Amino acid sequence: MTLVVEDLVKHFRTRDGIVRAVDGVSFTVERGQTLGLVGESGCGKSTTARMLVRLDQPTSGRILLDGEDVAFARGATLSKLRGRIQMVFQDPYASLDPRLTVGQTLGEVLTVRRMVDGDAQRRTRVNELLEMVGMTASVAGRYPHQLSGGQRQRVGIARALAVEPEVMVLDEPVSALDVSVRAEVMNLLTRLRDELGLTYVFISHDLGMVRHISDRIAVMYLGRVLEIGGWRALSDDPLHPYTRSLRDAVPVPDPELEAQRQVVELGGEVPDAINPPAGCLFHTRCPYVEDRCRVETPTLRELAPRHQVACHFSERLFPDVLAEAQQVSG
Amino acid sequence: MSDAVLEVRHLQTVVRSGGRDLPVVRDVSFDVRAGEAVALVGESGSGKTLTALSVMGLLPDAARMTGGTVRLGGHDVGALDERQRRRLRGPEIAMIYQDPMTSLNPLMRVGPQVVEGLEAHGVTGAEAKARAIEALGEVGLPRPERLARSYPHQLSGGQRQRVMIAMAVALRPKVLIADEPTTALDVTIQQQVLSLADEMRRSTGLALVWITHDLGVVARVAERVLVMYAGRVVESGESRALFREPQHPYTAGLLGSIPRVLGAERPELPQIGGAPPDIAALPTGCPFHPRCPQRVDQCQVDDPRLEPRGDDGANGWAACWVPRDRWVS
Ligand SMILES: Nc1ncnc2c1ncn2[C@@H]1O[C@H](COP(=O)(O)OP(=O)(O)OP(=O)(O)O)[C@@H](O)[C@H]1O
Ligand SMILES: Nc1ncnc2c1ncn2[C@@H]1O[C@H](COP(=O)(O)OP(=O)(O)OP(=O)(O)O)[C@@H](O)[C@H]1O
Ligand code: SF4
Ligand SMILES: [Mg+2]
Ligand SMILES: [Mg+2]
Repeated sequence: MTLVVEDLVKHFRTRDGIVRAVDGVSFTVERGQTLGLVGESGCGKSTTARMLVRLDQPTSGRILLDGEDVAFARGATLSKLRGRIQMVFQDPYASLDPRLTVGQTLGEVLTVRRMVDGDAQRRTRVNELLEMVGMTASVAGRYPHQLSGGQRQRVGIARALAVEPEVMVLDEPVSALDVSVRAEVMNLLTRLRDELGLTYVFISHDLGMVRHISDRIAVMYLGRVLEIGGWRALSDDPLHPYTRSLRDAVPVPDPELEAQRQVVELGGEVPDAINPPAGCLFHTRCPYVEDRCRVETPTLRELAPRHQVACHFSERLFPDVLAEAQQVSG
Repeated sequence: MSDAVLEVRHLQTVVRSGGRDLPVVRDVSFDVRAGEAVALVGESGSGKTLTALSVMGLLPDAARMTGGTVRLGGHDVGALDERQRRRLRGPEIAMIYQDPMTSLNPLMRVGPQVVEGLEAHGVTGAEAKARAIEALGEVGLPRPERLARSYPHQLSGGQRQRVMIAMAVALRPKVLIADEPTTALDVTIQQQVLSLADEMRRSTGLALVWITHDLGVVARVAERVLVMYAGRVVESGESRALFREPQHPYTAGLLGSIPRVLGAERPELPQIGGAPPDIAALPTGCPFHPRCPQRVDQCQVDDPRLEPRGDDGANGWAACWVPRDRWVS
């Protein structure tokens, strides 16, 4: 199914003022594809995720599943939606009920969602789900504390798969895992997507992981998308100054490459989402800022096919990269 | 070897748990020279923090050093009493702890907290104040006089981390141990902190021990690396060589499992399989053998020692029975 998000907004009222957590986000994810969402802490990734599965009610905007707007769905429609779109959370420790065995956790979802008929069917399906995520049936009898982090995350994935969703929203699914087990979970997610034709929204602050799994990538900053495009162009030849800074800031595990890198260091910090800067959201930290950036908000412009950038000056700043991008995709 | 400012030999530390002593640091040795950055890398629970706290002589109640020596600027730390040891912390060695929120006092303004550290070492009054402001400025905090009057919760994560560094370096230590100082920070702030550390190292000859689980951070900051696994150093060596030709299958597995940063190909990620062992139920033989693709029979019974690779350790040191040229791919 195609997931289309249009001008999605979430504002939180707090004592200090209105937090513009998500402030006009739009993207499209085609069936069977993965959209990566990256950005620094607080840029609105999780809030976007929670709205997609309707754990948070949007302030405004549209969420279209195959054309049907579910942003404000209630009752039976909302319940049906939960069968089509599921979320996997960052923290496999906190997202499982410690008092239930793995089999009970999965069985409960199957029963509540009426996915099975009777105990025998339920047991069979639990075993199938465990097998799908690379675990044996014996795990069904174990409690979360008897599992490793990677195993717990597999259970989290199995629980999402239990309702046979079409879309999975994965919010930092490997960030809490040991480095040596991340690859395993990434491979599992890729395999499930390809075998089951699942559509993913993959959220991470780790550009490397996002680059690895995504078809398209959106870079968020202060509740907005500053750049969106194909995975390769976006991670290797970005056209927005922020995406470039973000990429340069990530240290790569290769001392020889590190020694050669010419990194433009990004100063300052992300401004407060209650008082976002006027003009370009990034202007307070941008190495290329000019007067116009302080007053005029750049809109997302399609500078190469299916590659949109919200910067006034990308053409002038990165002419060679842009020429290449237009050629490659054109 | 003698130019090392910090020399750790055969460090052993145990943690008391369930009526048993669990070996959490096992035979760890390393040197750090002035102006050098050494990374201590390993997954959660591999013993990085307890190695650092053993060196500092600041172990929690449940833990106890049971063997080994720590030499700091010519002193055998084990032979000193607690008062003498305390005098070394600050001017000789300092540490940035893993969680900045727990190590800054939330009820106290940050300036006085830096001053307090100086006063404990006899720098007092106006001089302590001036030195504190100077230290806050040196770590790149804007308007340090004003910032000194802030409470920790009024600062951003990056600013708190800089305050922590300022506190640690205010007494101009020769060695700074930084325990995951950037893990909780955004990458752009991490980059600022890494550059700051590098600058201090170059300009003042500060020796750095940088603890992390991020191999990218290792590649950026460190000239030498120690890889820990289940309380052991399983490989150590010069960063470039270690990343190019890892000598231990665990290091090779970790490096191989990271997505590529360049190129049009995105092959399935090579994965290690399994998970790090529980320290209370360590496998026999080599602690990595249940997960190791290079395992031979001997690995299941004999625990390999850290041994030099190449001529005289030209390719670093590794604790593995199977040398790299005999690995199956
Ligand atoms: N329930 C809430 N009430 C008020 N503000 C909120 C709430 N939830 C989120 N926010 C704020 O909204 C902004 C976006 O938060 P969000 O959790 O979506 O960020 P994120 O990109 O997922 O960050 P991280 O990488 O740290 O997970 C932040 O400024 C956050 O403080
Ligand atoms: N105060 C304590 N009491 C009991 N066990 C402890 C204590 N501190 C650490 N341990 C145990 O000692 C082992 C090593 O812990 P250590 O904190 O040194 O790991 P680490 O490598 O720093 O991990 P992390 O990356 O999670 O910080 C772990 O198995 C841990 O559970
Ligand atoms: S619009 Fe201006 S401030 Fe914003 S990214 Fe482009 S150059 Fe920088
Ligand atoms: Mg989040
Ligand atoms: Mg630690």
